[in-house]
Amino acid sequence: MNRIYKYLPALILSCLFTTGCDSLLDTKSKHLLPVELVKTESGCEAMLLGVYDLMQKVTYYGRDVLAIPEVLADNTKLSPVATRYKDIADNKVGAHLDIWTESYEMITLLNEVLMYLEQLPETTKSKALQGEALTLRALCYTNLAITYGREPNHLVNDFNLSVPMIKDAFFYSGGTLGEETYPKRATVKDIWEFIEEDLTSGFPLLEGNDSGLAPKRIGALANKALQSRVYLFQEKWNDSKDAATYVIDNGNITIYDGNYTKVFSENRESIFYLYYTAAEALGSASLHSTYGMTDSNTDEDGYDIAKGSGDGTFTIAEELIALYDQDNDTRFAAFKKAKMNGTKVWWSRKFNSWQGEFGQDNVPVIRISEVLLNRAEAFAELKQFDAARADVNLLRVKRGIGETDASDNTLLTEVLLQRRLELAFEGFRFFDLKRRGQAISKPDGKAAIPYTDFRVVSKISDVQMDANKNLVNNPGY
Amino acid sequence: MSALFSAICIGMLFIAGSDFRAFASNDSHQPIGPNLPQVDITTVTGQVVDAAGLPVIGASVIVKGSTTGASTDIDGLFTITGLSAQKNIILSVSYIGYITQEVRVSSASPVTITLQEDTQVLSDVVVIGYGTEKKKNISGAVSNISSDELTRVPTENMQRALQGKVAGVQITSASGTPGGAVSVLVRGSGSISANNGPLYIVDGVQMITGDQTSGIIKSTDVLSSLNPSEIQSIDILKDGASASIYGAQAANGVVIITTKKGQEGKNKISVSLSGGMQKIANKIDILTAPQVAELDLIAYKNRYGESSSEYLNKLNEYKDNGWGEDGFSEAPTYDWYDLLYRTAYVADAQVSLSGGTGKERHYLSASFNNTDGILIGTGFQRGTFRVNLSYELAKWLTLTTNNSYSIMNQDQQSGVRASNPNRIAFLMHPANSPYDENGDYYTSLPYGYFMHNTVQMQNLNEYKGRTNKLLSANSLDFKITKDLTFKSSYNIDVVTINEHLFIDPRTREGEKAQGSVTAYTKDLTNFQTEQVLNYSTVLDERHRISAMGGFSYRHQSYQSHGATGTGVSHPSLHLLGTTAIPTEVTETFSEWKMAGMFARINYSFQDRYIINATIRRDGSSRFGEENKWGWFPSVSAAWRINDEAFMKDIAVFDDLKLRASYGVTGNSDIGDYVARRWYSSGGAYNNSSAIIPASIGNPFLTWEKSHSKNIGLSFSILNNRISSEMDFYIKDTKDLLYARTIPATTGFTQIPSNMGGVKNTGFEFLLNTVNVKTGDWEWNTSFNISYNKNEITSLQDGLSELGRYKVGESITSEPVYQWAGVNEADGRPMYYDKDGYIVYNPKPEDRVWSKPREAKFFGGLTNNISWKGFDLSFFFQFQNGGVSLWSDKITLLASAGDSNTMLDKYTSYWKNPGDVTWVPKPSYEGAYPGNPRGNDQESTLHYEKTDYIKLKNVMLSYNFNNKLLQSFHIANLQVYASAYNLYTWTSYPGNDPEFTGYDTGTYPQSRTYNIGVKLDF
Repeated sequence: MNRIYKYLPALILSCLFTTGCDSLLDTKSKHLLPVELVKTESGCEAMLLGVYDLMQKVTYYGRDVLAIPEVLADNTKLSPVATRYKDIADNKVGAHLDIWTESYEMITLLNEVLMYLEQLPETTKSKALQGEALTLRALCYTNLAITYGREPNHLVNDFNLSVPMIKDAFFYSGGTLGEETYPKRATVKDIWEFIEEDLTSGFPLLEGNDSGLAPKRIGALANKALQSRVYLFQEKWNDSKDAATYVIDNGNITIYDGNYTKVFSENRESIFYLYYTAAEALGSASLHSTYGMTDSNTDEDGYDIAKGSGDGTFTIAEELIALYDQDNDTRFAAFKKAKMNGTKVWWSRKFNSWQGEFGQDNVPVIRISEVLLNRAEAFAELKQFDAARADVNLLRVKRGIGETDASDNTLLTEVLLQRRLELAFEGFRFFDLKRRGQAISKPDGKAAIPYTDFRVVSKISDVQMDANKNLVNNPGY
Repeated sequence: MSALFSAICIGMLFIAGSDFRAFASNDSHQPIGPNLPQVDITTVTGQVVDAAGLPVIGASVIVKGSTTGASTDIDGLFTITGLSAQKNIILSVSYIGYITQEVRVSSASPVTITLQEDTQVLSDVVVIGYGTEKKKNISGAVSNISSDELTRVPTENMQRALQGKVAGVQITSASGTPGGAVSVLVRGSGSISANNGPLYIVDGVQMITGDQTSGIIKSTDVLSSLNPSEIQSIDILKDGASASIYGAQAANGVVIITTKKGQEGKNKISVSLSGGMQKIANKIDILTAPQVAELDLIAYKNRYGESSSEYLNKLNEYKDNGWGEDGFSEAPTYDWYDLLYRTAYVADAQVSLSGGTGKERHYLSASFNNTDGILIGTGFQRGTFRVNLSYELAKWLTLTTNNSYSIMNQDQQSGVRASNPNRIAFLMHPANSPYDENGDYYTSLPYGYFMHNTVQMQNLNEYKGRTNKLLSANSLDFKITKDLTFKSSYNIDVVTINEHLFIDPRTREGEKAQGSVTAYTKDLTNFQTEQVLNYSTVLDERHRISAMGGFSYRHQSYQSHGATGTGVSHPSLHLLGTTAIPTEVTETFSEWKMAGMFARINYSFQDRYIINATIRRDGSSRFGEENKWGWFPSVSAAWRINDEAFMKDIAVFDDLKLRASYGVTGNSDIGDYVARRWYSSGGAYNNSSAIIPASIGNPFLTWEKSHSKNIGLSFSILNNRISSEMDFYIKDTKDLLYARTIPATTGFTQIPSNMGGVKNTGFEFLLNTVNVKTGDWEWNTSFNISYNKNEITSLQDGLSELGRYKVGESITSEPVYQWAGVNEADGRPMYYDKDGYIVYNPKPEDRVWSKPREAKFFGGLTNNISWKGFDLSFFFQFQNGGVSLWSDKITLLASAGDSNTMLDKYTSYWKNPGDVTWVPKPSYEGAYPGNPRGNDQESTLHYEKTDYIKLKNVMLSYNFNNKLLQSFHIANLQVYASAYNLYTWTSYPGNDPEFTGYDTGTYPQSRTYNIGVKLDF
């Protein structure tokens, strides 16, 4: 007995040591992937889907990118029960669209995809993915450029900085962070050139090679449509017109003349929209909840009593309501009247939980009406008034309000009016004023904000300014 | 390097093993018979043994009145020869730690002398890492709390019972939540991003602690499942040298908890019952509904003018509400404090059985605690069972198994800011009643911002958590020789947490999707094994040497799954399976492993000069490929001055000891996978799986390392009437684990890194006095005070500022705009710029660093007065020097007129030019000419001092006379009454100055009154 127990402790100890120390520390993950497993073509495609997944967030296309530009300007105002966006509605200092973090998360992911695709053997699929990635990157940079900078033709006091131009994915292998971690802001000119370059190099990769992508993902048509938007922002009217013409001539998407809400519930005009499943429904954070509430009872005067679900943050500004032909315009017919805390208001039903679940709506990013209006505006600016009138009348007729005979300079006003009426609540209004150097008008008799006011351009957040000392904030902040 | 270390360990083992001899049989030595004929003695032989019959080696045996003597050998045997023939002699036998004994020898037969341990000394045994040590030999800074002190405080939570009792240990309840989280800081915060809590060890098992829930339960700690009554003692290893034996987990100190064990003797049954009630301790002064409405109308008038449509619309709206012709005076007021809080009841029952025979010891206990929360619908329940057994399988082998099982239920509340009842209580527009005219709940409240009916939510919704914890600590103790022991332990700590969230379809939150159910289960398994070899000997009676070496391995993993369903078919159906639409399914797995080798050597000379050295090598799976392993050395020394010859004449000292130590400890408490670059496929688009980067990784990520120095002095004088301990320390932490903010242009917002350093410098003072000790009277006082200063010593890349951190400031300081009060001329809020000038729109660079959130000074004062059977104790706890953001004040100061506000906003707002007040002129939404920063945007205005003195505990007890009880077979009977959190002196204007974080929606502290009875059979 003695002999056995004498060696027992030694046996236990030596067993433990002989197993080897480092292997004792091996662990695995069952829900995360290491980098080796994503460097494939299918991995790249899944990462592109990751970009769309990020775009769906409430802080991007899920809500803010569409909602904030509307309340920064004059299409919507806060409802009596609003709790969100109060500072933004008042255009308080620093209250603006802030998509910095979200945008660069997508941009660097796209950069990573582009890097891997470069390393992989070229296939038709990989070319399409590359085109898609370039176009998505251009879209991200466009939204950044219009939020944080002025447009090329409308600089104020020659301040010409836009956002940092990041072309590479970021990897960290230890040690001090290098200079590339702390980029300076690129100039407005350089950013727009870069956007154009991405779009023009992305297009041939997608053309004829994008089957199955559109409209839930970016295809060749969306690339061209985005080009027409990008040129419009730069007031390159000819280029904008040409890109729009390509879309109008080559796509089989037309202006829908039925029930206007079907443009949104059935994506009748979409060149690119974000698709939401039931599980992705954004509920009370959704656009539906922001622009109104779910149906509840109607009172004797036909007003919804506003007891449904939803935050009901925005109502439509009376000034906008007054601009519609209330008898004939199908767009006006899509509005809904309600009484909130005794106040009579109008709600938009562009987002109405059309896909079923509360807050489940597909988000239109690019649709044919915008492209048509891009071209109409470009024609008007190019003084090709007949062509401009033809475009705007095409839209007017489909919306039930007949043709206009406006000409010359009043035609541009008509185009811009139709643009406001058509694209209301889709995130265009503030940027349409800003890109043309116009004052930001406000509803309810509030004073307009002059274009030169520093609050027209968004502030780079304190967090980002603190994290990167090479950044210069926009003047005034 | 690790291979060399292991070779040494094994080598030590074999040397020790081959050297040992089997236990000498004691039975051959006959005791001295009284009837033996007397003979002349020239030679004395014998053996010295301890109470357990084991040989005492190195004991000194001296013939009294001479210098002749001998030391006992390895078998405890001694032989003294060459004595002049005598009829009888007297032997004086002494050994360190034992009472010196004199034995009369009057026969030539061998004698057996049994030495008794000096219990006076042994009662002060302190548990240190992988062993115990007598308090007088401790060279580091270790605090010891006995069960007596713990059970005096009527709380369900062990950590709260320690509050204010231990110098250098700052314990703060995160809130008043029953069973809720408690922050324990041993000598300050050394870490920015990793956990700052200590390592908890219960009966040798490194515990799973903290909040392990998915967040349905808002405030909890796995440690709340521990029953404080089962604890025998708590030892806190505070200095780096003491804690260093736990290496990479010890940077925040180590709390060693020892549970009660059976003692040899008759079975003892103890029963303890108590009950009590609790109420909210403090409320914030807020407005009535007419005051809120009046203030709002003034704000509209001031902003838009008396004839503006905005003002008139508002006035009409309020008139239509039926609030009177003036729009406010007839508004009804509902007190949401009264609607949400209640008098809650507390009950606790404990029963235990303990005892043992020669070879076996047992302690069994069971308990039940029910603590209703003061917030309606909240509460805490805990049942615990414990079985502690030890059995001597053979003289050389003892099996010990300590097991506990506990079930803890918690009911809590919504943590969403807009529906957290602990905010609603003071922010709700007071014109709202939770009930409509028919007495039914409003789904959405009619007035103001806060529309969630929290009374309804607390009554209909479920925010439940259940924690099951099984702890099993098993060991085999081999006694290889008297000097050499080996302990082989195998421990498992299993925690299962079930959370259940039910949102009733009738609530505002629930009506959107017709209610929802979320269920979440998490299983944590923590396996540990430790193999420890202990050797100790005394050479030449003066050199006490002990050595310890061992190996430890820990593997912890968890797997969790959760699901959400919407569309509750009927409000009485609360389970996932009864919902219409499954909306979310998750499953997570995570694991980490740690291996360590350690050794300690201790040498003391005449128990006067004591030197200790330890070393540990730890490896953790959490760190980067390049930096998995680390070394943690320590050294400490003590000098017991009162044992010096020159102190012989200074009779006043019973003890005087100088201590000094240095040790390196680590902190590895970060995420399991943060060191690697990972991609998550959790998202989806268009029903296909989508991949996005989840973490950036850092192959060089490694421990935080704390270098701690400690110098201490302990003394006791006047027959131990006054005793004191004081310690000065510097804890220098380097390579902080930190999720560093990086520019978002990288695509990531944070990067896990080691950077910079934090220094904690502090002083601790403990004084115990026996003020009165005459006849029936005894009055004891214990006072402790600690000072700690926290300072960032460096940041990454030599930066002097990084995000919210700045070199020279505390890690809890943060940049904040400087409030400058209200412009006397026009009532606008003003700020200071960085140069001290008044501005209205301060810029980020105008921010100053706030004062540290943590207290500078803290401590406690306990008094125990006893007279005959009566015992009165009262305990004060205090802290001073901390300043914290009261986050809810930001909301309270908003000027939207849609929520309640602080009374000052109504009584002291700016009215006329020249008014000096801190409350700006009321203006709707805080709009003023020039668009200044509002007073509802964070600034120094929202920072408040958290100084307090609390009369935390008062207890009066009476122990009945034994004689009377014996006739009922009762050994002891005590009845008592106590009060907890009785009174707070503070200038803090919120609910309570005790909280963690930023005081937003903090569950209020309660005041508790208890009565109880304790019975021993």
